[in-house]
Amino acid sequence: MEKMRLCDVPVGKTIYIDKILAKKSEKLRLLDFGMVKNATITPVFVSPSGDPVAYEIKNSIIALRNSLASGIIVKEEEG
Amino acid sequence: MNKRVQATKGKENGPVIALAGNPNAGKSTIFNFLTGLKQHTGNWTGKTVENAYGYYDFKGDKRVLVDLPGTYSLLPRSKDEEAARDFICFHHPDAIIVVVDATMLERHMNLALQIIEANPNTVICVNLIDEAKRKGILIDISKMRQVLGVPVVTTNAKNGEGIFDLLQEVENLIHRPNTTPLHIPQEEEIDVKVKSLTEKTNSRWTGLKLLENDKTTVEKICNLKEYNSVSEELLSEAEKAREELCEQGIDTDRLSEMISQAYYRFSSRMAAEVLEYTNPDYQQRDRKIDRLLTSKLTGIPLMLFFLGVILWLTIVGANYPSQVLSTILFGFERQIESALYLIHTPSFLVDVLVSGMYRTLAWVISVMLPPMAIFFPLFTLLEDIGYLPRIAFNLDKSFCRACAHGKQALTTCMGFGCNAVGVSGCNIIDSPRERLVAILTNSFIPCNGRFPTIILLVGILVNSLQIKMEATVSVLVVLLLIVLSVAMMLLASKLLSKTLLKGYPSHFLLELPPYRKPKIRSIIVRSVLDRTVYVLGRAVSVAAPAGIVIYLLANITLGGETLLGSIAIFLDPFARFFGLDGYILLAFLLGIPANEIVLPILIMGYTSLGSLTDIGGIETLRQIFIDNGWTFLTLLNVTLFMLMHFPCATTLLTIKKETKSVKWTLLAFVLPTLFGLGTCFITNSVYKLLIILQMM
Repeated sequence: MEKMRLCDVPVGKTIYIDKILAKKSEKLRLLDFGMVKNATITPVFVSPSGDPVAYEIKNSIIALRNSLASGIIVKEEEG
Repeated sequence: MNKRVQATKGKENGPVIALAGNPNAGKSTIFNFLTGLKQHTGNWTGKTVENAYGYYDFKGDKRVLVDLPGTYSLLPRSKDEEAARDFICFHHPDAIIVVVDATMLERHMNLALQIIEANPNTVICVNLIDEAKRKGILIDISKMRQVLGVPVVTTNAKNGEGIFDLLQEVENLIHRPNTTPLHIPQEEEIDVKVKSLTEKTNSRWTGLKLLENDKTTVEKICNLKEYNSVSEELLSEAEKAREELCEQGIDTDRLSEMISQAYYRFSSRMAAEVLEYTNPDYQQRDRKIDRLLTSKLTGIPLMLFFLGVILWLTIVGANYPSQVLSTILFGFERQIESALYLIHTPSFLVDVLVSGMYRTLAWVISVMLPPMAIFFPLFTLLEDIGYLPRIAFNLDKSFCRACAHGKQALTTCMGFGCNAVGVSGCNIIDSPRERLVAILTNSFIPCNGRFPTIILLVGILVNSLQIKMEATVSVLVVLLLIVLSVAMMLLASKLLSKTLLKGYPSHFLLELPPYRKPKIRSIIVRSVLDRTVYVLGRAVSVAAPAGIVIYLLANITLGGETLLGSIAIFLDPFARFFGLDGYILLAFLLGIPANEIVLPILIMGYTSLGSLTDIGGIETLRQIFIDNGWTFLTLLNVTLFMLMHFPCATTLLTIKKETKSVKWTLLAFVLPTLFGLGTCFITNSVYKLLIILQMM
């Protein structure tokens, strides 16, 4: 199954979270927002400079800097 | 302002009820509705900084309601969350209300589940139920009750719908506490380990925290009376369990992750059971607005446009009421004078009170009140709709480049209202380095105390150019100055990040809440009562004594020169260096209590009448300045120095309180001053150079 970084997902494409590669504190914060394994996430809009990007997760909108989104590994299918 | 509570000191006043929830779930709306305390609520993350508390009556019984800061989880990751966690877990409230947003139930249940696990004496308040209905989200409440084992109530706090039911459930809990905790299943391996710790501590939550070894929480658990004697034993057992888990391939990081995931597993399952979406596209409208407000093409221009409109309305709208107020207030002077003479007040004292205190007061009110009464409601409107987090989103890259935190954009916005508010708002930034950067640079942003003066100065500046469309040009100049102030703040942030506060920007995570219909009536009530009256009250309370002091300085003469004049003459050579003069510098120094009174002091000094005269209009002011040797450059430099100089006394005190350090407070004083003086020095030198070149 193909895996990629969240920051490389095009706007509007819904994708599944696989794992988070980040410092413990950041990882836990992302988990607080619902970025658990197999949760769906969709990039919805981009700031004027291209960074950060807003993502829809669990019906809420969370903005992430690309530096953080690059550590979130996503996949096309659940599992 | 609000009273603050450190612990459950309200116990003797009746049962204590904690109000918890995610940021922006409507907690503060419920708090305001119940207590009538005008605690401010904003449509953004992290507004409640300390635990504000108030009282409400239920069928004649007094209850204490503590408004906890909004948090995403019970694991403390910032000061706010630590405060909320401590209160829920260690201060034994008699009941807890957890407010969750009906439109994001699954996300918000993450916190609610952790709270129910820690203290089952909880009622879940599913708020914003009308918004959910509008968006086609149906919630099976009885099913929720069944799954959670705690009372669940739906509310629409804005109009008080469901609040009575909520309070009734709270009463039930006060009289018959719920002691059956919710069991959130963990992964098999963890469940086994936590079981024995749970039995020993009588709390699954405590057991989990011990196993997880979250430092600050464990410390506080061990300090609790009931665990004092057994804490050593508990800690070593937890340590042993951790080692065993590690052997099974679950290290401490993995352990925390698995525990966090368990809550989401539970809430996802619950969401699947209780939620039904009848309109899957309900977010389309919000996304369309978002794309408009944040796109490359329209994002920044729209932001400047809104700011421009607000400023234009403030400048144009404040003009007439200012003149009317000034006429009325100065008109009272005679009456007050004769009233004072009537009660045989010595004439010197009458002069001090009327020409010193009253005139300064009248000036401050007539110059400040109208722009504030226009600016604050408009600003609150943007805040209420949910636009401010989008500004932070748009500007984040610039903050990132300045090695600052993205949320600094939010504290910057607060700074436009009042720098002291902006500084205390820095609590929402969890990294200490970036928090300090935000605190130290907040006063680069012109606050409402400086806005009227800046607007006035720009008015004179533009007026002196004798051009058409004065108001529009003024707005553009003020807009330019605001952009300059933000740029300078970013430059200062970068400078700090490269020198005294070395470090990289931490990762940025910001929730962008749904757009909400503004509540016009409450905006007006809140912004006028809370902000306008508060800021004006502060200004008046410093302007009154300052008016007396300045009057005395301007009227006590030593060797043929007034004290004010002597000091100004002393400061003059230094001030000239920066294209200012002694009186200007002195006015700024004497204006430390409040920036609003800088101009009145200056005029008092110049007219050397020993007291303020009726301000009249821009023309009169301009004439006074020209008579005292002001050039276009002086006007420009005073404006720039108004934009960048030491913060006012209130802000300095707030910085001292927040940083707990004299050193940082001093730096907060020096930093913007150096920037201001530096800029004035440059404009002064360039101006002089141009003159020399012209003569050659």
